[in-house]
Formats: sequence, C-alpha cells, structure tokens
Amino acid sequence: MTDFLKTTEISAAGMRANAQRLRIVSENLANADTPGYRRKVINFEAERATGMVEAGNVKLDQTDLTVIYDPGNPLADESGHFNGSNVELVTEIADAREAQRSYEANLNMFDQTRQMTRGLLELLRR
Amino acid sequence: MFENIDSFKLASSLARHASDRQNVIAQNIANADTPGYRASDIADFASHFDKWDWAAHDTTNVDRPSPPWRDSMAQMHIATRPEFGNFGKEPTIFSRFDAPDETSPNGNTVALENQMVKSAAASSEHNMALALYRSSVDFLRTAIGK
Repeated sequence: MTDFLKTTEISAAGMRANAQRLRIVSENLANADTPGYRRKVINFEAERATGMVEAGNVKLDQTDLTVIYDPGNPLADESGHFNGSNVELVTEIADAREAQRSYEANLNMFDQTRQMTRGLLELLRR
Repeated sequence: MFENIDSFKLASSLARHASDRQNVIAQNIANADTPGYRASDIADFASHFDKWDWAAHDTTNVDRPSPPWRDSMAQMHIATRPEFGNFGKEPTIFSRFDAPDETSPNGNTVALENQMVKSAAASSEHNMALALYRSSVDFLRTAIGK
C-alpha cells in the first residue's frame, strides 16, 4: 500500500516538473518578439534517494540575439539595427509537445497505480 | 493467519513484485527527460521463482527447505513490522539492475513506449495476484463449508 503511495508521488513529481517546463515554454513564446529577451531553459534533475524528478534552476540561453533591421524603430541604433530575442518558435513548439507527451505518460502511470490500489482495496469488501 | 498457507504467500509475493516493478517504472517515466538518467528494472517474477530447484526437493518430503520467495516473505513480515527504529522502512527483496532501452544524445536511456508496455505487464501481474488470492479465499471457504 505505502509502495503505491510512493509510486503515485513519483508520478506526481514527474507531472509537476513537466508542467513547470511547459510554463517556461509559454513564457518564451509570449516573449518571442520582446527586444533583448533571452529564452529561459530548465534542466531536470533526478533525486537519487527517492527516484523523483525535479525541475532545476532557470537559466538563460546565452546564444546570440537576432539582429533586426528596422530604422524606424525607436530602439534602433545609428545603423538602423536593434537586438530581438533569441527565441526560436520551432524549438519551443517541439519542447512543448515533448513536455505534453511526458506529462501524459506520468498521468497514465498515476491512473494505473490508482487502479491497482483500488483492486487491492476491493479484497476487503467481502 | 493466511500467511501460513502457500498460495496466499505466493499471491502476496506476486502482488509485492508487481507493485515494486510499478514503482521502478514510475521512476523511469518521471525521469524520461532527465539528462544522464539510466533506466532500471527488476527481474520478472518467474526468474525469481525459477531459481528454486524444485526437482532437487521432493514435495512429499516433510522437512523440505522453504523456497526463496518464502524466505523473502518471512523476512519481509519481520522487517515491516511497525517497531520503533525501522518503521516505514521497506526492505527491497527484488534487486534492481540497469536496463537501458536506447540512449538518447543527452545520455538518458528511457524509452516511454517500452516503459508503458512494462507497466501494463506489471498491472496485469497485480490483477493475477489478486485473482489468485480471491480464489484461494473461495477455496478456503468451500473447505470449511461456508
């Protein structure tokens, strides 16, 4: 019984981590057109003792910002260029899909473990 | 009281194996995107069972030594007894080993598809254990005429 509780906790940790990842992705997407915005990335870390997963600290992607040519923009310098963000929509969408897929896998696991627990409790009903 | 009957022991051991396996698979799935994480697994119940050399021990022999799952069950019951000090401490009777599916560029060896198949197997194994328990109870009921 306590084993099943632990199992559901692990699945819940997986869902939490993926939800956090999806939030970061949506923040990046929302700021895709913000000048000077660097995309955020998080790393997953495994907890050795419990087997759970945890989303690590948010880091900023240090790749070069895209340079946009728009002389009419108030942010543009003398040559007519300014820095955009380094968010790539395709990468973000792919990341979002992966997060969704992992979330669903964890949810499936949670549901299955719950069904096993229910089967165990059914034994008491006779 | 029921623990002394072999089929109940077997059912309980099988259920415990299924729940342990489910736990390992849940960890693998939770860490499916963790860089450097290595997938693990526990051996299936049959291989634990097969380690016991049935032929060498005649079942009609009264003082036959107990099979390994019986020993582990006995240990388990002692170890999980809620005493001060080791309360909540669960002994792992089924040891884990490294079971990589396929390695992705970040060093992770979990493939969700394989884990899903394994969890379905664990779930049906658990169902089987419960069915075995239930039919053993029926058997016992019939024997005592109720």
